[in-house]
Amino acid sequence: MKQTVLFCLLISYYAAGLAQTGKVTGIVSDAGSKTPLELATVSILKQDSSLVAYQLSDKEGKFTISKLPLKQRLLVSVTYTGYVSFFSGVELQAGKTDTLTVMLEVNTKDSNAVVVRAVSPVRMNGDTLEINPDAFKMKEDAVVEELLNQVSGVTMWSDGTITLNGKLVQSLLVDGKPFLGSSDSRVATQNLPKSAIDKIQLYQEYDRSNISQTGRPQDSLLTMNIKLKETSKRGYFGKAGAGFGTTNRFESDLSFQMYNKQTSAGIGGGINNINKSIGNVQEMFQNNTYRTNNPNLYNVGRFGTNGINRNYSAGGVLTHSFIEAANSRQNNRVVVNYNTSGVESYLADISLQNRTTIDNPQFIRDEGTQRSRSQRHDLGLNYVKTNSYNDNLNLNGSLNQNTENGNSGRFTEVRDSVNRLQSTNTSNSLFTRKSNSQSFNGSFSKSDYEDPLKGVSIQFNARNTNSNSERSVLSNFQSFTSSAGNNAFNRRYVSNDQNSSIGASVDYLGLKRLLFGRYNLFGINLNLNQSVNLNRTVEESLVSDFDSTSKQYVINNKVSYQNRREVLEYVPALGLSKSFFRYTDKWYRSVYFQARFMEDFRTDKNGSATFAKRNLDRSFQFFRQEGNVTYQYVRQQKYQYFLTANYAKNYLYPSIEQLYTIVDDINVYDIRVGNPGLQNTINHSLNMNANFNTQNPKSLYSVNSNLNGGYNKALNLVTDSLINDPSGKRISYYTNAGESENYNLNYNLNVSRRFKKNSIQLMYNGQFRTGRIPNYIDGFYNVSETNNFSNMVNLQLSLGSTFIFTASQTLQQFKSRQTAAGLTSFKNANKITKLGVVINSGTNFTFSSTLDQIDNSNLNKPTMLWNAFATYRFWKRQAELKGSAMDILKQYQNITNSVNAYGTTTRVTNGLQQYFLLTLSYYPRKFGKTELKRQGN
Amino acid sequence: MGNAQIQKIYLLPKAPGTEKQSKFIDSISFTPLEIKDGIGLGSYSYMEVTNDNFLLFDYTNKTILLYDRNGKFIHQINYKKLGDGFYPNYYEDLNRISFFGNNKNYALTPKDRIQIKLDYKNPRNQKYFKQYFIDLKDTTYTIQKGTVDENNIVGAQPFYGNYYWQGEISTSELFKDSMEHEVKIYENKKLVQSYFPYNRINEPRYLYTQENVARHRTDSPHVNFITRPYCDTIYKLDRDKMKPVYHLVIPLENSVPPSLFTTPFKNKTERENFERNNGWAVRQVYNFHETPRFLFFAIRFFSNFETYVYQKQGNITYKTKSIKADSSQYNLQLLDNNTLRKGDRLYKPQKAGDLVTFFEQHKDIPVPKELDAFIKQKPHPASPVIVAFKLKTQP
Repeated sequence: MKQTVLFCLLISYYAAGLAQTGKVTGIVSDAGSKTPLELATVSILKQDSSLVAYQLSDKEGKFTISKLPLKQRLLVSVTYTGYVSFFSGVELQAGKTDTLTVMLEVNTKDSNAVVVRAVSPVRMNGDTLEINPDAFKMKEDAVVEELLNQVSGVTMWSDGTITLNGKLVQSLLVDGKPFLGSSDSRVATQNLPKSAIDKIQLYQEYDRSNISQTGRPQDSLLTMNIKLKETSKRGYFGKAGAGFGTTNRFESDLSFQMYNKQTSAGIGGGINNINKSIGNVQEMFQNNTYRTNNPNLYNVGRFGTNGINRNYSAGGVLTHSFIEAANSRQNNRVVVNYNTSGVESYLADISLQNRTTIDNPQFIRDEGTQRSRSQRHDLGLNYVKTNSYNDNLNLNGSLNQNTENGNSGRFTEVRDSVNRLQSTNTSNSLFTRKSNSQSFNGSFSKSDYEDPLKGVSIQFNARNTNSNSERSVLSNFQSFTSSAGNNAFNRRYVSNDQNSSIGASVDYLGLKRLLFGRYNLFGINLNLNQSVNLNRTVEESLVSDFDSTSKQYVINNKVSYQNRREVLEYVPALGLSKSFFRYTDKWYRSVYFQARFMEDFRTDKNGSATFAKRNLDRSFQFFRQEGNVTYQYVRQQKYQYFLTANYAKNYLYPSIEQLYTIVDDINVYDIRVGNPGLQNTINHSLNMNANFNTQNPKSLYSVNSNLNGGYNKALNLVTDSLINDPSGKRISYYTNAGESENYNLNYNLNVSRRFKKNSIQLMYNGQFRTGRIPNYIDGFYNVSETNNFSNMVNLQLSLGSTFIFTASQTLQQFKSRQTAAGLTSFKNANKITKLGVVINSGTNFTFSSTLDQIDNSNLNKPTMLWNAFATYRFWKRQAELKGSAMDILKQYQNITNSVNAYGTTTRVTNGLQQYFLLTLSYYPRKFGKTELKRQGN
Repeated sequence: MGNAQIQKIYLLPKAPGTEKQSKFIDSISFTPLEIKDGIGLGSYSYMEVTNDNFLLFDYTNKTILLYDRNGKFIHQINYKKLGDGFYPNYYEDLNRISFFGNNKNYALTPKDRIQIKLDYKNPRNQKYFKQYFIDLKDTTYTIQKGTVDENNIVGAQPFYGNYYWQGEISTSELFKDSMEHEVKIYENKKLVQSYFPYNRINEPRYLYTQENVARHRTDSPHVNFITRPYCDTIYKLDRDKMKPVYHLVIPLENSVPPSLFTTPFKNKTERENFERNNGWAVRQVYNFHETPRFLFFAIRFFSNFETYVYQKQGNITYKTKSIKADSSQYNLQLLDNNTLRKGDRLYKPQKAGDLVTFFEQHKDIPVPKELDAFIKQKPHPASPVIVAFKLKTQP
């Protein structure tokens, strides 16, 4: 017993000894004024200079640092920007507190004084809002996006856009340049760790795209610039992942990017058979970011995609800046990218089409399969050089090559309204296509306030495309209404097409100065534009039919052709513009008027070796005009809105294809015939745009909305005259008919509300389109009215970074109505509801799930798609294991609805079915000289 | 120019300390201005005190409010019709408000301005400018058209008596002679004195910018403080005699990098980058005002602007933003860049709403008798009140 008591006493004594620590307190003041200094850095160092503890002085200059080791020689260091640093040695004793009175002298001599970074989280530096990452306590590997989520006034929207006090951040730069040549902010915000960043700057920047808009009130670009720490100006990051699953499903992604002050390079690749979109190398960078707390739940196998597709893509991008400038005024950089991609596809589908005809609507059932394989190569080059905000040189070149081959088989049957079979068509085809294109475009613009005569804006473009294809078709049409219409084909098409175009446009911005010198012409600005475009096309199609007697293919001269076309356009234009603005201390408003007058000269030369009528040369001359009115109102620190309306008149003349169509009747359900009597069409279009956003720094709400509307009226429209045969055969003749009208409206409203570290976002968008197109159906004049109404609302609730819930609903309605008696009207609708949840447990485990419900008016019950994912990050959070359970309910169907003026179509295709997938990924990451040390918790 | 009496100002622009306003100012008195419907103080209003009047200028709303020294409303002058670019300037000698600006029928580039200035004697060049004035002795207070003369074209402004002074600084290759001075003093049209030579073709610090020497009035019309761009010395100009009086000692982090004085910028962008990268470097001192205990001035940095009070004894710098008013001074923040000095007093226009709110919240604090009747009238919150005060002469 005694031994036990003694042991306990010893343990207690030893523990008490361990628990004994020392404390240093004190106050930091300005030696001259005796004013307390807030945010001075007080550091306690061991003799070997290793840091024991540190603290910042409070508002009264006080500090208290406890739990310090006893009986050791310690160094107290107090530093403050602009002051001579203070150093003092202490040796702490048990039960005593050392109190220091630190008087700092102003440093007016030493430029190498210790600089302590300001820890104010957000501050204005001139016209720039600066966010200081060091002031935010977050886990070591938190990325910029997570940091921005904590900054008051900044909203990270669920679609990746960023707003500051309601205003959209339109440009995101890293050290003054687009990061890795990408225009998508997520590559930077979801990869760069907070610890690599010196500061984030937000400022207004001149929009170079407005250089040619002399005199127009300019709305500057809100720009976010991420300034890297000097030690993090080089680094690399990326992702390599592979996953395998049930039903032989697999996926693999690779992205690797590295950068230094002047050069960045990245490679990416992916292959999968889960219909997951891989895209080009920039899309791979966007889809494989490091972000942890809010994964993209929809960058997974796509159940809505038609068919089963084996996608692959690989590519690389290299950017190099020839200057070291870390600002966006001066650019001199080149971006080279290469991408190869391909799809192997198997598609089986059934289409059910309601087709309106006079008194006899037809129901077309069309089913088939298609196997295809395509591959493309894209090489792009972009060079940008700017010396200031007032000049811009941009050169782009691209080379593309595509190959595609495949085969398809289709069976079509047409029934009448009482389900009697009217006709069938069987078609099997084999095809190969190859095409390549080369394009180059460049622009140079410069405005010179000092010398307006030098203001100019030039655009140049050239493009050449070649394509050749071979197609063999076996088809057999059988009519049950008239056997005279039966036909069968064994036809081969060999086509070679070549198209080249070259064009240039020059805006001279110094016209007013040239004509009127210093005279201001009532504030009216003049703009002289000259544009010229030359387009040449050579098309050859050799069509031959199999002659069963001679057992060989014989050229069919009725549908074989060799066409040449050359179109030259020259459009001189004069623009006049004037702006008015008023402002007070509370608001600013401006109105801008612009009118442009153009003379449109066109020559259209056509030649054909096989069809004499297509040897047609025409010349046209149109006088056109356009107008624009823009109104902007800014209520300081509250909101702003912007309205603009454009009117344009345009002429269209019928193409040779519409006048003298080469009629190929192999597709009996859609035969097109030309009309040499077609006349010109006149188009009037009116478009308006309005947007609104709050800009109240004090408000917890952030609101932005946009409204786009358009009205188009076409006089003497080229439209169709359809003749439907009872068998389902249809012949479309081009004809002029009255006028058409189209209205469209697109709108969105985004509202976010912040509750400390939590936020709620509501995004609503929709579109409404309606049109009236005149036509003739079976000889009767008819107006086809179509309506398309679509609305989507999306709600996202974030509770810190722990829980994210999203819900969205999409409602779509299609309607088509015919005015002629006896024609049928159609409508269908669908509703898609999506729910998503992300739960981040601690810092390593994430569970997420999505549930989609698709309702279609043509289906008896809705389709459900439930996916769930569990993700675990380990190995310093650089490795990730992800389990995916897709279509857990096993009931997903690919069904789409579409509508046009002549009916609706419901299409059912094959697609993905339930599968489970396990994916392992590794994220290599290094920023600066030392690798990031990530802590699990 | 001698420098025997030059004093050092140990300026610490960061000025982290906070202090009560009552440490700096006392003798607060109020002049409530007559309440008129629809008349209020703008957010960016500034004022002028003449022998007979209080003038409240509101450039954003293009109005001038005219009161007598007792606060009686006299007139509201609206100069919207002049358009933008016409700033009102009060000239004490003439007791008139003058507007000088560009004729909006012409669009002038910086090169045009230099060419016009070089050819200032050509009367045809007068058409590019317009001058208007309001004679405060004329009780109609109409805006009258003035004549543009050679002094206007070269940018020379009335100094005192027959003297004019010119402080515009620019560089251009259009100048054939490189010699120019930052400050030139004319008697009528004859140059009598010039100071601070610079190369007007390629002086590195003045390339791709337009600068001005700033003149700060004192109570003597012929005595002014002079501050120059990128210069840490404050001068006193007495008639045509210039002498340095203060020297700013500033931390290196706020000092202009020496390259500004030695390395020419290759283009305007280089200059913009330089300015953005040195946002807190001191560019020029403004609104310099001296009292026995304090100096009151503003500093324009490359990308920032701050107003300071400097306590001579102890060399202590305070940002006016960090000087907090308390209830003993009615919570009125009186020191900022719009504070006007006249004689031994400082003036600041204040919105009545601030005072009404204060007295509603502090019922224990008596309303000063000069404000009593005014407050009882329940003025519109934007109704102006003139606050006069002094910088303390004793601790």
